[in-house]
Amino acid sequence: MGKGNILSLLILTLVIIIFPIVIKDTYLHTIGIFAGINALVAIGLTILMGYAGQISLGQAAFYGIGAYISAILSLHFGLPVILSIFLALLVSSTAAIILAIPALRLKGHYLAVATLGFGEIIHIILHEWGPGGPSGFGDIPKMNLFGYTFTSTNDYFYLVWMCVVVIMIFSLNLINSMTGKALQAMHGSEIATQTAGINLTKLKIKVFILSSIYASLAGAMYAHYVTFLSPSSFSLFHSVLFLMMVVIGGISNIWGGIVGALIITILPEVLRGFKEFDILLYGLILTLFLLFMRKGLVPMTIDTYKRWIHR
Amino acid sequence: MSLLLQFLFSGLTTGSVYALVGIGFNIVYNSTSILNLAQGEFVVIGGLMMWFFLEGMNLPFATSVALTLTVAATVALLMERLTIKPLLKKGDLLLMIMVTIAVSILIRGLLMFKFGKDPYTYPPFTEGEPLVIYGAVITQQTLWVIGITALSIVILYLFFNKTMLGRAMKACSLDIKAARLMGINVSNMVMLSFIISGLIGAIGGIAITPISLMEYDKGAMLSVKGFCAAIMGGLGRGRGAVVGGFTLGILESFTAGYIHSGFKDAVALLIMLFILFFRPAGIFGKTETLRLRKF
Amino acid sequence: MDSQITIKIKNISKSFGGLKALENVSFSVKTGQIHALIGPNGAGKTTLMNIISGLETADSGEIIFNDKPINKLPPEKRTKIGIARTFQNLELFGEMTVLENVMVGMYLKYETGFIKSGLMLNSVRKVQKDIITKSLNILDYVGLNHRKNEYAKNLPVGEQRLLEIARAIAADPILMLLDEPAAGLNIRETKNLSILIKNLKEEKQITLLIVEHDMELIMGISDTITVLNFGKVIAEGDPLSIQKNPDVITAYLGEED
Ligand SMILES: Nc1ncnc2c1ncn2[C@@H]1O[C@H](COP(=O)(O)OP(=O)(O)O)[C@@H](O)[C@H]1O
Ligand SMILES: [Mg+2]
Repeated sequence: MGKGNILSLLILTLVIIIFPIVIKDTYLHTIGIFAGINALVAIGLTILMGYAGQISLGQAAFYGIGAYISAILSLHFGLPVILSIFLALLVSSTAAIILAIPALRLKGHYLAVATLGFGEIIHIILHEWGPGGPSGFGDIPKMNLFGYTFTSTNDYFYLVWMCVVVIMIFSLNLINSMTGKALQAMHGSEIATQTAGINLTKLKIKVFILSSIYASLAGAMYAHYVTFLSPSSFSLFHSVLFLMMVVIGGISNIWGGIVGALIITILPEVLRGFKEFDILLYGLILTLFLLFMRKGLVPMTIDTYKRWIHR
Repeated sequence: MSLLLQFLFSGLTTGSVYALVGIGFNIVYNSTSILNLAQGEFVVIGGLMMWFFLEGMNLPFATSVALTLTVAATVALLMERLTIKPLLKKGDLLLMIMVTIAVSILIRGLLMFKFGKDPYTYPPFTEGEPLVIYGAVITQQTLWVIGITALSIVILYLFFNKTMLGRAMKACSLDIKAARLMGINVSNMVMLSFIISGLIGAIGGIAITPISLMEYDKGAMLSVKGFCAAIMGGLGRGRGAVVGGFTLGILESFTAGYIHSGFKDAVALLIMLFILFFRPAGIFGKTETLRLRKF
Repeated sequence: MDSQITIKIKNISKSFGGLKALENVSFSVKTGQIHALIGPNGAGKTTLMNIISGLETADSGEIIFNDKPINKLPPEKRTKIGIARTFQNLELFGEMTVLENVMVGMYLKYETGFIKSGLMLNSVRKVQKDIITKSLNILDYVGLNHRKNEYAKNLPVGEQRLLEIARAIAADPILMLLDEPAAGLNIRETKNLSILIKNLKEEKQITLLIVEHDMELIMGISDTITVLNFGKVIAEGDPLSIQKNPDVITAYLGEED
């Protein structure tokens, strides 16, 4: 991990610690929590898309699986929350494998539609067979760890963002390792990667699993924080929102995931008065970024900074 | 028997729209190798704009149709010139698919801004008694939808096979380099393919709205189903999408009627995944005809 | 059993649709030799390279590497047992640096799993250092050290070809397949390339199968030459006998008009 990353991690940690102390408004804490939850998904999606060159339009499905499985296990089966979360990650990984094995042979837009189809099927399943059907269910137990129950927004803020930091460290290590280089290589040229002795199938399955674990962890956090779930939070539109976070933040840098998540989470809050504009605005922002700022905010900022230094 | 017939006709009606969207997918795919995930939005544009001109502005029927089609063609044109053309030469498939998603959200956003979240409808094209066949009630609008779809298919067939312009487009889809050598302006052909696919989507929307209502967010599912229809017949093959669309419509209608209406949408998704995973050349297509194309 | 032979191509045929790209092609590459595969454009040379490295499957025939049939092995396994290659249409990892390109070539020897990598265990760190050192050595060997931190896509063609060879060396192969390594190179670069190829044989004891159009280069370095025309082997022998072979001369003259 380079100096830049370590410094950024330190700053991030510092901001996380200070934020709830300096800012007392719990409404802002709540937004912070959702931003952190989204960031978890976005980090995984950046690795999947930006590094490994795969696409997923079904990330909301893994998010939903994490949320529903963890909620159901803890609510209806009385399992400890932490165990439920763990099992939810397992289920989600299994789903990722089931999707990845046939989907791996697909490239580009075929993979995009296949993941989209998978996401919509999961959405229909939640809709038809999830507890409470389309209207969802509540009373999901709060997060509980070593006998301590997380209740306040403060608790959840620290919990979620601690997860973000841990996931971030893990991910930075990963992409700076040989595994990360293999992922990037796969993006560059699949046949050269294969003839370099790398098993593409294994690598793709693993990166799918990784991104699904991040997404389902986020989903579980969401479930135990909000304590109410309904299928409408896990639709295709949410998959597209995750995609937007990655594009806006910068697909080639995992810090982009965090930045994108912050922006996409805060945006609707800023635009509260203009409810009927929001989809239009999302569409406009995504289009403009794809047309004119393809690299995304984080890589663009880094480029500008480098140019400024070398002046 | 009457119930079965009823489901069959309702399947053919929705299937018509899937077929039209599927054909749209094919036309764009053939000229660019892109899947235009905004394809379904044009059906919504067709339905809602028709309502706007017909009911909102009280214009005559023919004028409303003409204006609606003009709007759809303009949107398709703008989409191609402003987003597809600048990105096409980069040859980045991931980027292309994302930009069609972006445009679809943009269109949806515009429609919601203008029309809100309510469903819209307008009266059938012709008033009159429905047909009753073996106890199945078939409204006149149903016949309109199926008839218009059939007519569109015939016109498209004639266009691509009998006119110079259509043949030039076909040439592009077969071999871009050769087409260029023959002096065909490929960029214009791409633009034209977007306009045509936008138009036929809108035609489907205009025809179906009196039957099934239209709202701003129907486009995504229509795209998925149109794609499903296209891939059932083998992507890029015009007639395949027609068979695919009708088959899908009927399967959906039977699922909703005999099993559970909540699973209606799952049919298309499952068929689509099955084909993508196991038969990428389509159910009705032969394996050899699968064309793996790059830009 | 002939222990002198590294790879044996046995009756390989391959057609694309109606086109017969390879028809009953058989020849052997002797251990420690530089074996050239020549022939006009479209003769099927690249197709054969692809079949050997596992990127395409032959319709019939067998590939025997070190006395074992390898037809069923996927590409990555073939690299693991010692077959590395370069590509005629350069397949570099353009968005990665020169050094990283070589490092990827070494991945097969030092695979670390996702979890170990993510936790950055000490063992991973050590391996990483190892890989960097070795990769730098290889870059030195091919003369690309001064470019190590540049993006591969920004190198001129000559250096990109060298980088492909460097990445192949990183896999520590027994047999190396080079597909038109001199295409796009100037005279000086070609000369250096011929020295490098000879060194691969003599210093690194790598057996080489080379597809190349530059006859001067081929005649200068090859031990054996196999000539392919329209998917068939039309001649085989040492450089001198090939130069005199009337069939070969017709094949090449036929192409020029
Ligand atoms: N994937 C493919 N599909 C169809 N035809 C191919 C394919 N690969 C090669 N060919 C054809 O096979 C023949 C041999 O090609 P190739 O092996 O590349 O020749 P060489 O490398 O000797 O120039 C050529 O006619 C080429 O057009
Ligand atoms: Mg070749």
